[in-house]
Amino acid sequence: MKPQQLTLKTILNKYGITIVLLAMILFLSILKPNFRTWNNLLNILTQASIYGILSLGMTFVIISKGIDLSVGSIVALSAVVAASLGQAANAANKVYPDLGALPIIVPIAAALLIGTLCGAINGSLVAYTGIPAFIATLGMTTIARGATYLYTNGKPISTLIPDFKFIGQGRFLRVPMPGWIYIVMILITWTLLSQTRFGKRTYAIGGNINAAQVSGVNVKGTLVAVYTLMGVLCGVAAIVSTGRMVSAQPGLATGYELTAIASTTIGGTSHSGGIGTIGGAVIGALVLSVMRNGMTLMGVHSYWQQIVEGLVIILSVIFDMRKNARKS
Amino acid sequence: MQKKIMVVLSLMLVFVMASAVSAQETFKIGYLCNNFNDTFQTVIEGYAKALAEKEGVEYVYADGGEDILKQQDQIHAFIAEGVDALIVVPIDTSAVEPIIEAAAAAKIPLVFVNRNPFADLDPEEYPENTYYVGSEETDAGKFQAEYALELLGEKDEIGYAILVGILSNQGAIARTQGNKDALETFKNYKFLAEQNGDWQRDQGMTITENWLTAYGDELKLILANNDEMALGAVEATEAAGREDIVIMGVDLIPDAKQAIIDGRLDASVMQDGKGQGEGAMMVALAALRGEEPDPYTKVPFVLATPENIADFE
Repeated sequence: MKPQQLTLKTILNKYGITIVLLAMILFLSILKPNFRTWNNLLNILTQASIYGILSLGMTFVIISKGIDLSVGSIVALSAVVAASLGQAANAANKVYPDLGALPIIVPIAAALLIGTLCGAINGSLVAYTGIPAFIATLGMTTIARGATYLYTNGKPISTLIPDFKFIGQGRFLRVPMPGWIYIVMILITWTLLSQTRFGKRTYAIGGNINAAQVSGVNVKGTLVAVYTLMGVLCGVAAIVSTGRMVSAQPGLATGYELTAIASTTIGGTSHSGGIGTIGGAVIGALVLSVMRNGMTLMGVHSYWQQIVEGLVIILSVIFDMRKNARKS
Repeated sequence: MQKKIMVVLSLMLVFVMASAVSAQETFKIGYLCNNFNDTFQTVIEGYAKALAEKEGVEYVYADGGEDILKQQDQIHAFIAEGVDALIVVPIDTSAVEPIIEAAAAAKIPLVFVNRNPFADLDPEEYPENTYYVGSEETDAGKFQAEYALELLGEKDEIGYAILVGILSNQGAIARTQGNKDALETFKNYKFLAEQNGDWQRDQGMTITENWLTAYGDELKLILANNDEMALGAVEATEAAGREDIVIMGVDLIPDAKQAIIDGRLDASVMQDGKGQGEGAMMVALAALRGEEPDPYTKVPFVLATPENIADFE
């Protein structure tokens, strides 16, 4: 084995998307002085936080060679339930008119619980019935969205207790709370994926499910855990979202699963399973957030923004496939 | 003898007519909503449904989920089910041809509500047995702009930006156009940007955050095509400490009404949801009873500001 040389090629392969992110930041900083203000950088972090948190869970799912299409709907369901339990005592359109203001921990626990439950159902369907993850989670997508409409009667839930506003808009050490929550989730998921047996099993299942089975990995249990983790993170994202808007709408988070999948994919997680990192998912989410923010600052029309986003996703996957093909 | 026959005959006639009328009274009407996620649509539908119940109409409804084909399928299903009239919030105002054909083939009245597919037509040119109940969408944009002129004056430099709804929708196009037309003639109003926020609060918030960075103090006015996006802009400007920015929405949903009362939102333009929902149901019933209603029933917009917000029950 030759020690890997630090040629331009290996640097590009290893840090390609990070270099793209830095180049984008440099380019926008020169072109738009507004871009490099402290407040705008915090904006980018805050705007990335919701789908960033989702892409952390999506990294586990995709590494295990699965997919989860239901995250947007699970976020919406968790958010409306949390909001309904977090309404101020004087709210005009109360879901539970007789309920006083509850401590913030109740809606937070409810959001996490619903996320966990939906995730566990997804995981059990994938692990025990053998139906493809695509189908199982597609079913969950419409079920959770339907439940959201049913629960809210199609109406937004607003006038929440002030603690929610702190979660969404408050600051700690000058950094907004959604940014902190994102950072904490990054640390937790990074530890889970790279430092625990659960992480290693996730890689093993995605790399070769039969080999994993033979070598004694609890495949079913691990899969349930992977999708449950995704569900928990949906609950977290729902809390951040509810805080940011101090309300929740039943149509919330439509299509967030695609943004989460895109972030994860841009960050180099391979859909053929077994390859991916939390760092990549973070870079991917930041690339999307910087891109959206930068294009708005430059006055690019929103429809062009969508086209550019699509191109970036496709190009990053082509790049990754070539890189991985060369390795093997 | 002849007299007796006449009496019997006329009694029979009255009886037949009465039974015919009472048989016709139990109409079945189908309501096709564009998207139940659009809060204001649930308000219109609620009033249509309430009136239907009051009038003893059998009422069925479907949600098209912003999918044109899904809505067409639902319309065909309703016709097959035997509805006597259709009330439709068209998903795409430029793609209503198949809907009109389906209703014409079934020979039932078709009432479009809220979104005008015939914006370029005079009411006399509407297809036969087809009606529109709704508002002049450009008025909404015009009312916002006029109130902005009242608040911000005609002297100071005002940069403004528009939060636009989904562009395939005539309301979004017309409201935006109404904003621009009314402000165009005033040299001190500078158009900065418009962006599509999909009618959603979260997108309104994110876009506004980015605008605040891009245009800073230059941005003094945000006109939104609906309240959800306007309320997102309110959250963003408040978080940035820019309460000076004037923000207006359209629809006067309950959240927006509360925000106007609390002094967070400057104005909303109310589409009269009650007028539209009940109006659509009344036009459908009138058409079924052969009363020949007008092809176009205009339900005017109303500007809601802190001064008159108390008048909106």
